[in-house]
Amino acid sequence: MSNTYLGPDNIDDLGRMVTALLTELWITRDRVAVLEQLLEDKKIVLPGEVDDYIPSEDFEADLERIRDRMAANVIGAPLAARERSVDQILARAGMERPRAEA
Amino acid sequence: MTRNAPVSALGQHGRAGVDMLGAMQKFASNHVRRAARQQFEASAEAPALAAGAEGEDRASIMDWVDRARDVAERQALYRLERFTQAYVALSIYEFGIPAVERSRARFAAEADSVVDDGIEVDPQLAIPDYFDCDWHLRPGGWDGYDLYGPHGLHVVKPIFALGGFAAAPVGANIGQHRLDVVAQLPRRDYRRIYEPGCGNGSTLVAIHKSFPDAELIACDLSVEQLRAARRLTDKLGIPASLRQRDAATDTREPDESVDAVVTFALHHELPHAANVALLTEMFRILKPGGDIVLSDPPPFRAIDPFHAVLLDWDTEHRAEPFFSEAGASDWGAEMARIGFADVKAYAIGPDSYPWVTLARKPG
Ligand SMILES: C[S@@+](CC[C@H](N)C(=O)[O-])C[C@H]1O[C@@H](n2cnc3c(N)ncnc32)[C@H](O)[C@@H]1O
Repeated sequence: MSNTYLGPDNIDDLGRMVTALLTELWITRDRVAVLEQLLEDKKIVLPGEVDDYIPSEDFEADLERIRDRMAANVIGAPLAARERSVDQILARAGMERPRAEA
Repeated sequence: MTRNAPVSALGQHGRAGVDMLGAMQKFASNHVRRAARQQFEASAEAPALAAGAEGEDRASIMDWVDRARDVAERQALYRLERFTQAYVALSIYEFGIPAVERSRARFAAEADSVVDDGIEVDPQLAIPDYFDCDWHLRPGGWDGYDLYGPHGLHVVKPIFALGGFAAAPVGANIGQHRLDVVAQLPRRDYRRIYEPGCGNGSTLVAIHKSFPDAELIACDLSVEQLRAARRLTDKLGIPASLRQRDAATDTREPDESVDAVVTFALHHELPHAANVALLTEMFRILKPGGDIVLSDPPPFRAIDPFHAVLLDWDTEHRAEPFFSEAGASDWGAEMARIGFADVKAYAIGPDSYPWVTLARKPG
């Protein structure tokens, strides 16, 4: 008996499962960052505090950077196979190398 | 410790999930789209498509879009970019509805959770058939869920604020777009300004900022949207009369009773004939010499073929049944036929967005 279940028309479904996992992975990564921040600020975390937490503007900017990189690594994986110059790789990661002084 | 500090409306899970949906859309609309455009422009058909549609009529324009779509759909990166767009568009509800439901107790406890007393609700209003749609894939349409107000604020808004969907380019600031559109109005002395299809009231905020002394009157078909508008305008202390009306049939405003009309992101949600009727109704209620400014995604004739394919996609894939119909229309020409004068149509931002049409009722 064949143990093959998915067919070519499930490629989209697989894509959806990957993107759904990306969301879940980020939620966990964000939670770790919030815990670290709370521990750094107060050395102790009370019940409910992680859920109630609103990141400050600076902290949110840091989170956005990490989040954009994660999205770039996952959603951008197909680009990685196609665009392989150093500048392209850095641009996907939201970076650039210092320009040589003129 | 004090418990009075503001707390996250959706909790950590909801907040972070919404953030990631925004990040996916931002990356896809930026990097994947750029690479997809390069593939499109390298295709053998690209030069002929770049020459534009063969005629200015709606059929020729749609034929051109169809040809461009065939080219785009052959390409892997275009499909990947659209896959991500579609995933985010669905997840706004698939992920977002449970996220606001989890915080229901908090939203219900807000003092202003039901604010019908500040709205002229019309239970007899005949809701047009075209309005029966799960707009933007929103289950049940604008009025399909009692928490769509908070959902708009805490799920849709943070994702849309990054741009990169429909006509708004990545990094676009829609709040600023609204101010820029209102700023096109040529006079400063309007006393009464009308907005048909005000939705959650964001454009009313922009109108009030530019015209703090003007009286604002606005309508929408959706009661949930009017409630959201009431909450927003109350919170900001903006006086506005909100009315449940069909702006394409009868606003019930007296003839020649308003000095200016502003529309934002409205016309692509109505069939062509209803738009013409709506513009005719605006002509009726405007005072002679009154001004009107319309803003909607750009018409296909003003954009390149790849961009047209992206906009047209919303019609089938993001529950925008009239998006392409509007894209193939020329509101300026319709307004001139209705009797408006000094009609001008132009873009005020990158990627031809926002696109505005400005006109005056002769007087
Ligand atoms: C995309 S929203 C835009 C809302 C608002 N103008 C803004 O700037 O955010 C379009 C709104 O038009 C409303 N609408 C659609 N057809 C209408 C009609 N015939 N009369 C009044 N409102 C209508 C919808 O209910 C929806 O709230």
